[in-house]
Amino acid sequence: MGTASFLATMLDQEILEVRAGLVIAPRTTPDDKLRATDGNTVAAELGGRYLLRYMLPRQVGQFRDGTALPQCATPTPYAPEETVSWLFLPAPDEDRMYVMVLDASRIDRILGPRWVRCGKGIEYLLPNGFPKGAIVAWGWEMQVT
Amino acid sequence: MRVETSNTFHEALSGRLKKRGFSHLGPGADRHGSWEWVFLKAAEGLNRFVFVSCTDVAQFVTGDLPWYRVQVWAGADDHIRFVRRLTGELRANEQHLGKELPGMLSETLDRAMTEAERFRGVDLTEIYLPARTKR
Repeated sequence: MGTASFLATMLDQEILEVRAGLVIAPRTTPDDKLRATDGNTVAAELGGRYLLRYMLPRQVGQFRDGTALPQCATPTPYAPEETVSWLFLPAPDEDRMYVMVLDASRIDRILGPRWVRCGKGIEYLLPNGFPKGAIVAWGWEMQVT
Repeated sequence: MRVETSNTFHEALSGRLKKRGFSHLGPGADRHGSWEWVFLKAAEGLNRFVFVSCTDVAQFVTGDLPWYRVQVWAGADDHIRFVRRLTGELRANEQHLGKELPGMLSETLDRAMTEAERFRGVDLTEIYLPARTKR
């Protein structure tokens, strides 16, 4: 287990559970029982930090106009070799080499946070996806190294 | 993946897993590059999970239909420790997802449910981050 991933996740847990006073939903919580709120609230709880949506190299460019499809996002930065394990992502032999940075305050509806099932990270569910306007500043994906 | 395809696939999966007591935890979502549907059965002190996922496979694209790498995982936890294991994998296209895939996956799904049901406390070898308390 990478120490940096542990620290990054623990600090996000600290912000959410201790500073914002939230309960990160248990892993057994169904989507329709998660707390639903607007993006401004989530952004405030995260201290203005952004959400991260990792992706495979072949998916770069697919979301530059945003998407209406349900997406998961996390506040926690991970190195490519640790993203899969900490978020328990399928196709574990394929590193998520890219990330899209999202401004939560520009997303209308967000569910969570919830602990990742059979993983160690924290995730939010964006049931209506995210608009193009939520993609931070430069407007495209960043390679993670 | 189209929402209609995801919903059709999800309904077929839900029907099959419900027969063995596994409930769906949501309609499915894109988790950092892979669509995933999760099912839960709480029994004998453990939460038992079955995960079904589709990851698009660019190099297998033929014609207009997207192809997917379909994986089925079994997992379990006791809120403190957990385990996850890959049960099976196959390739399918978008048309399969709407029609044949639940049948193509039936044996793998059965094995995943059995594996999830057979996990015992001693199998949970990884540890979740502990909950923190307000200072």
